[in-house]
Amino acid sequence: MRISTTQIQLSSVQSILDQQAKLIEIQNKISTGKNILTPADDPAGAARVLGIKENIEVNDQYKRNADASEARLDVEESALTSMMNVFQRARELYVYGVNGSLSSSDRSLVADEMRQNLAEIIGLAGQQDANGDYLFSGYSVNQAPINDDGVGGYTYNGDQGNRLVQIGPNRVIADSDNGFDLFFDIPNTTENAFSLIYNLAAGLDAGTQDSSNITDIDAVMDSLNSSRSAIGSRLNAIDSQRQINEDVVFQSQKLLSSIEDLDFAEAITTLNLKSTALEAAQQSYIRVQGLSLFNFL
Amino acid sequence: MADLLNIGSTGLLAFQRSIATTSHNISNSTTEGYTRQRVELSAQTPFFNGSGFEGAGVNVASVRRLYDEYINSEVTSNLSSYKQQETLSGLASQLDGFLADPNVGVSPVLQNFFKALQDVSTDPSSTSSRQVVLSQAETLARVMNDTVTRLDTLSSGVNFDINSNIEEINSLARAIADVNEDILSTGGSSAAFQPNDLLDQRDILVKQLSEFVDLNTIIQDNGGMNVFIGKGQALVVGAQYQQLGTLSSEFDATRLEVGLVTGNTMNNISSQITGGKLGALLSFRNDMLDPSYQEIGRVALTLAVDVNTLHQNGLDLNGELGGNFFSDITSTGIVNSAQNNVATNLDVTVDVSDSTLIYASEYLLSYDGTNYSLRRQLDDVLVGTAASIAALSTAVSPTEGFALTLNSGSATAGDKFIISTVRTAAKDIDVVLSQTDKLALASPLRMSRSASNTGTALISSDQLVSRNGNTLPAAPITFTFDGTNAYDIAVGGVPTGGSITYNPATDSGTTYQYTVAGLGDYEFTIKGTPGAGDVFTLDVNTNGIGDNRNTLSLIDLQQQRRVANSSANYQDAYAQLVSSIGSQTQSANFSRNVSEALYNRSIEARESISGVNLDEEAADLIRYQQAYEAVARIITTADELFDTLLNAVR
Repeated sequence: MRISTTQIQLSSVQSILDQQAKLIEIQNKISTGKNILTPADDPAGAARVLGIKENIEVNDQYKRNADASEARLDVEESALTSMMNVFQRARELYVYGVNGSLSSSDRSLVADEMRQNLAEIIGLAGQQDANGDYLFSGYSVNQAPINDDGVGGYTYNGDQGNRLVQIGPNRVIADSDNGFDLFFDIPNTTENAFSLIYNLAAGLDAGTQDSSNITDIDAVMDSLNSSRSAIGSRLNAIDSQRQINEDVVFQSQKLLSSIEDLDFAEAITTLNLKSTALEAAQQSYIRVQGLSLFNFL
Repeated sequence: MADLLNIGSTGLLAFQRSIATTSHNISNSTTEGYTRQRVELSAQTPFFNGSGFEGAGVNVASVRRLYDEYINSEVTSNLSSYKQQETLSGLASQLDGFLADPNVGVSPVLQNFFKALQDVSTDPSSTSSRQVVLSQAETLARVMNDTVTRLDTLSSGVNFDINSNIEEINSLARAIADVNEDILSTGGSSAAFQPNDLLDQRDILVKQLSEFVDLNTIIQDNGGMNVFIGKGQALVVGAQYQQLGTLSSEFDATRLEVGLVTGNTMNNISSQITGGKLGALLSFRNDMLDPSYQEIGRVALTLAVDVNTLHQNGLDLNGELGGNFFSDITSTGIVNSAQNNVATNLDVTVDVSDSTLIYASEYLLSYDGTNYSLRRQLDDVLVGTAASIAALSTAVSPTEGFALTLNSGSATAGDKFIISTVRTAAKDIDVVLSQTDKLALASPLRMSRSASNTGTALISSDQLVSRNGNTLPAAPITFTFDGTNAYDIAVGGVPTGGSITYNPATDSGTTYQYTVAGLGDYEFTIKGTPGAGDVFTLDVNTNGIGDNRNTLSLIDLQQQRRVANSSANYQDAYAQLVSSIGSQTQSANFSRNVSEALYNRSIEARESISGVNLDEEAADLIRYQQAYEAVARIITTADELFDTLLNAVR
């Protein structure tokens, strides 16, 4: 085939330009570490990357939610544990108080101590979380849960809401329990936890103590205990869900990496190949350009 | 002897011409579009001298271009598609680059908005968490606005380039006509004496023109060239030329179309323009820019509608019902065609009725004097025809997700209007909520059970699910179990006569819906066995600032398929746009490489016939020089012969 001098020149330059473009592309990939520089490099991959990143973000968020719920449940659990210890002391005092051998002044001393316990319990029921929200008021987190009329009447100031928090794609968890369920609606007793102690102490003062009332204390303690174990199982659920979430994040990151991250070994090899090809193109250009019949005229 | 001198002098002239032409070739070896020339020699007509025909020397028959018409037209058509793909790939890469940019794209800010909602769900009364929700929503709206601004920048770039391309095309058309005139005046019709360099000049101009638009050429018998663009629009006819211009689109004054000036009128020929830079600009606008506006707009519209609807189901920190979160962008009007009858004053409001159905498309509303018809532009589907706007609305709203309301006025036969529900949504989206306490994260009502209940029945979940009024109930609503299989309903202690059937043996876990007068539908789930007289009370969620039930509903939107006939969530819908623009960019890049290779191939083919090879010219130079020297010897021989003769007679 006949080739024009311009064509020889153009095609040599074109092949150098082509090699340079390929070199720059692989160099860009190496410097960013990414296989997909723009969606045009891999449109389907780019769309998947967006989806996977969203998935990672969402799971990270579940972890944040789990952490926040865990902190709140930890506070609640320790409040309930302290409360149960106080109830245990009150129970022991009452058992001691119903003992017939005590004088009325001794019984009054026991009753006084029980009223101390009651104050402590009411204090614990007013427990606030790190944000200053009352734990046991349901949704009404700015209302102290217990209203005390001073003469043995205790009413619930909050509501029956139990706040749910999403900790997994299909899992929500209550991050607290309302005071109504915990203290005012106790199975096997008609009294609420506070008026019960108040009335037992008043009974000791009046000499109308009765050992059969101990079952009421036991009912309250049973109820608190089962609420506490429910919190324990929620904390376990948070743990296991967190593991699942972390696993999902790990797997997603692996997948993300396999789609958008560069295989450096392969890329460096390609870089070497391309730079050798560029050098070859440049050298052949120099060789070919020197050839002309006019050199011999 | 005289004959010998004559023969010798024809040879000298012929080889001088040959050497001159070779020199012309060498001098123009790097001239763009130059076609190498060759002197065609032929023996002169012999004359009869009685004993036979005697040769009379050499004759320069013509100076010919080594030229192939077919390959040259290949070059122009390949250049046209190469420039088209190159321009398209350049424009597409700009769009492609910013849509998926992890720092400025819509995708990350959409996620951040939902993350902020998740955070506030763990602490709904916190002012700082509420502020983050508002800030992230603000950022989301701004990024959507900015995305449209960048699309607008690309659109005005397209307008600018259309203008400058048309100027180039016009000046090239004029130049081709001028060269045509020169060629005609040289009598370029003669096959033997072609104005080679003028022909080259015209070819170069045609090649330059093909960079802007696909074209066809026809050479007339008189040597003039006619140039046609689009579907046979004559741009140049001999020494005459026509001019292109720009005109505003029928429905959008800011959108430039390509017009052909014919007399005093300008006809829109945009749809007929193919190939070249101009073709790329028009197809980029139609196939990539317009769908981007529509798709981003659809995501913005659906998100705004969904968030607003749910936000209105909530209660804010002040105990007031939620209002709009984003601005209401569900209502638009119709756009008149500039060509509509002057008497037309049709005023129609378009309201989104079901955002999940909305297509990422505009609609063409046309009136033929009897019926209105509505055509979806995206896939060119006729979605409805009816004699009135009201009837058309009834026909199309179940499938298209919007309703039309005739406010006033009427149309004239032949009128056209554009309806666009989503095109400006991403530009218009804005956060109207500005105070953190107005964020309605709680549910307006709450259910509670009485402390005196004897049974085990519980409400396991309860929430307002839709709203149709603005009144919170003035008195508590009670549900009292009748002891057998129903809860009797009373409002403020007064029985309404209504009841809910609940059989503890079979209905535990059933979800019920109760319509609260003046407010909306409340949903709740009952579990367990109630005792006779047990009461659930539904009342206003006073002080419920730690309630996050409405927040959970908002969060749920992220994963729900609310877009494109419930086929995609917001993220999916956006990712589909990114992927579609990515594929088009990829294919434009690929086509650019292919068309570049084809163009280079045709240039190679042209060069192999018409290009100058210096080695070849050097050889020709030697050959013609030798021939010239030989012919010069004829002159000396004739001279010597003459001398010999003179000496003989001396």
